[in-house]
Amino acid sequence: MEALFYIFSVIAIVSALMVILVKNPLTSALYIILCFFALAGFYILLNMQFLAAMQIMVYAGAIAVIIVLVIMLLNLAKIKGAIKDFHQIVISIIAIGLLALEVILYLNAAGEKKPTGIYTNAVINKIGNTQIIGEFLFTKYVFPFEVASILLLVAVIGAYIFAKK
Amino acid sequence: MEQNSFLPILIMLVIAILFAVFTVVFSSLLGKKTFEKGKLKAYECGIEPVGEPHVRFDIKFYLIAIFFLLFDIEALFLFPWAVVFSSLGLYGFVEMFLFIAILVFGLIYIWKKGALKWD
Repeated sequence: MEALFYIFSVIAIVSALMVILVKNPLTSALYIILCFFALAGFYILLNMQFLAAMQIMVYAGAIAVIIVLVIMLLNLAKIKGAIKDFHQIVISIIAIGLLALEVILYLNAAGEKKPTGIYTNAVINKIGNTQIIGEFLFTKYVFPFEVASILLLVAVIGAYIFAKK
Repeated sequence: MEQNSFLPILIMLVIAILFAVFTVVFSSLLGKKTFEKGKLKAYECGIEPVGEPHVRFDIKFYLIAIFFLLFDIEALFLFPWAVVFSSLGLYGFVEMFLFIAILVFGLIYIWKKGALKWD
């Protein structure tokens, strides 16, 4: 399993780099799909089968379609060369800084904190990841679940109204 | 829920990748190669193409993609529901009915407004 982790890591990192390094935006879109698949591989290694399926269906499926459509809708022949924007640089530096901080904090705390609760890795593996998500989603977290449907409803109507304008 | 149960999927992935690589590599090896400038031109009834190749796409393509994404997410919630349905019983049925009903309202709304029409 260790070997698989490294294979997925290499695929994820290389494809993520290729997204920003290749010139053709459609090639970038294909690399980002590969990156999504590599992340799904991580979820399977972590015994999160449901998240892996979700990752492939939503990200590698639907989000990738939307990315390709955005490329289609934009007139990319007009946008020549990278647009260097001061705000972009500032925002990216802040984002990278926060991410680095997060990683450092997480690595420091990883040794001290242990997962709590009765749902240990062994229990989850025995019952099944999807079953546990289902159990919690439809009993304890039923209200957020119903609210999610309203959120999706708002998104459906919102998308229509924005497109109509 | 053993990780070994993913072995068939991994094998399938490897075969798919090998097939894709095989197809691309062999067609470039076996195919005849001609390098001509005219080959790269867009075919337009023998007339030299003018202007940009980009045409404005209808926003409807994008709208349909967004709707697909949203209803795709709706469908994903059915998976965890399906595996625990028998233990939830009627309560689970009512929950999912409410969830779907709210989204069906959205579907009816865009349907009535003609967002799904293509003309």
